[in-house]
Amino acid sequence: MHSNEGHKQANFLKFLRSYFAPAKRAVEAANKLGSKDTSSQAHGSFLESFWWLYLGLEMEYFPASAGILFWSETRKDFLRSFNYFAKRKYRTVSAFTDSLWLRLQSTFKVSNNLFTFDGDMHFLDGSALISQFQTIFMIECHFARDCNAQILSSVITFSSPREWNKLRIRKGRKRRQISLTAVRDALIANGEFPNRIGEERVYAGFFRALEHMMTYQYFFDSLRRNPTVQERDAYLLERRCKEVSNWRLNFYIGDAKERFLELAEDLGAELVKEVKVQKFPLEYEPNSRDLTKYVEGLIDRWSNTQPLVLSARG
Amino acid sequence: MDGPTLKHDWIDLDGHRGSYALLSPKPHKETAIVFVHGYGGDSIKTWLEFQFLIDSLADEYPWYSGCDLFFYKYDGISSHIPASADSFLAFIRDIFPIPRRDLLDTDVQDFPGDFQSAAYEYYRTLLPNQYKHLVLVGHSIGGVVLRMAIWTVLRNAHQILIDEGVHNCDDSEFIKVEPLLGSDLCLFAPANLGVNFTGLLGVIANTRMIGTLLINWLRPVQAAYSDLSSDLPILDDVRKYTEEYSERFPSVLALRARVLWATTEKVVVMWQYKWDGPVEYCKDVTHTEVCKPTPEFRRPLEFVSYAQQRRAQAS
Repeated sequence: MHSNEGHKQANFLKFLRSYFAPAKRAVEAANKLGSKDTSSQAHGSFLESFWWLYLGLEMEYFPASAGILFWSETRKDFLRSFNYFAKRKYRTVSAFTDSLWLRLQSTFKVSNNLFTFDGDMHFLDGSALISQFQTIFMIECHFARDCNAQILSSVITFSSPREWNKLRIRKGRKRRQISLTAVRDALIANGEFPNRIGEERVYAGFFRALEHMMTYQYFFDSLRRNPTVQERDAYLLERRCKEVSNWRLNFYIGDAKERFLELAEDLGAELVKEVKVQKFPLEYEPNSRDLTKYVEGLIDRWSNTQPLVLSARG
Repeated sequence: MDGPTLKHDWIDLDGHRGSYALLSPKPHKETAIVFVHGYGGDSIKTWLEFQFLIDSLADEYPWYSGCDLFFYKYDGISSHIPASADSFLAFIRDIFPIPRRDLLDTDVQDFPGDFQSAAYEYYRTLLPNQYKHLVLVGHSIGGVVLRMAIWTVLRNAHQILIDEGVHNCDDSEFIKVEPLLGSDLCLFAPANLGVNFTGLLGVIANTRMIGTLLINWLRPVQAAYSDLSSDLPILDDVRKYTEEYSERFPSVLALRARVLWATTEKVVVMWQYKWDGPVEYCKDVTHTEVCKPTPEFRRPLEFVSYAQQRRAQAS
């Protein structure tokens, strides 16, 4: 086998194991469970795997022949997830960016072919970015498979206000104490998406999301400074990758940002209390607002690279 | 036109959740590099950019293109260091010198398509029958985990030699009994001599608020941290015996680390063992940045590779 083709086969295998299979399992589990939040999250993950397939084929990271064959065999599964969102009028659809939604519509409604959407900007030299693409795919995969991150994403994006309030740690006007030990245990533990969404997992997911945003930002800040990569392509890679996974942390839709900041506020208060109780030697006076301010800044940076709808071929 | 060429393949490792490999497709590979992250780090973000700079800068650092890289993941927060060292040894036994044949996690049952057999065929060619050289790379507490692992295998090797009636062994006998002792040990800002707590809190407070809050919050259960900050004799013992054996067996490479520090180091106590390599510093980076190469900051790439490169050139 030609080694380059071998690379692509191996990459495709990795995609199947790391993205497609877990997402498919999640849809099957959600169908059994019948919860709307869980179903939306699972179908979102499944559609995300479609977009990674699409982008991976376009980047020539996956082998064209196997990818197209795979697409033809799984098209119906993807269509089911597409219809899940298309039939719903509530805000879940807006979790996905316009360009992605247009691409799905183009793929599923206009024709059955994979590459029918004409709105993507293309890389000037995609081959110079293939290793970077693999690394960002690795980072995304790590985040997507994290159980706590999935729960966080699900509740800030898809939960109804009533469901969100059930999860909130406030009881009336009085704050209910968060069990930091339980949050810590959830952070250290891992595993599949659990049947019960507990608040400790939401808070653990919050920390995981912060970490992911910082890693992502660090990676692309550095990539844009890389003299061996065309600046336009670096921006484009960021935009194209981010639009694929952005639905997990899309602070523009619904109450996602408010909910996320609410978690920051509550955790900040709890952490500062802990610092004071344990009398840690600090060089500054801890303040619960510090965490919220920090998170606000991070959200701003994260959302500044909000993907745009691109209308011309590059 | 055959499309873009990727040089290292990313593959998960069976039985080692969160750990992964970047394998070179080159035949006749002889060197494995194993990365061990530090406190609160992980197998991806601690080494961010190593993963692709080895390929995108391959013209300038060609040595990496013939190496397989393994990124080890462990619980660096709630496990004690001796336990982490033990787990690491179980990991490294699967790789060096003879990699376990089913180490690559390639199970793809129930998937459609004919690509499977082709992918299997490709995977089969990726692992060499045997590695000759091993480079162990640790950051912060990962450095202590490596030191402790080396010390453990050294004691075991010594015992094996005594059991075999070899009482006045030389360096080569040690390495013959325990090939890990011939590895090149590269440490980025290791916590060899402990942690500077006030400095840690101070520096993170100024840079990453969340880090400070998390560290404070997690401290009561930080087993690894308590190993480094209390009066437990772990660090003293590892140092004492490593130095003692290093003096007696100067050719046992793994006892003599090469260490790279950040000049602004404030997190760990900044010094090294008696027989370690000459002190190496780099400017304008922090404790967490010292192990992360970027296109502008290539020292980590050079640091990991230079000893093996020199040896290869000399031979």
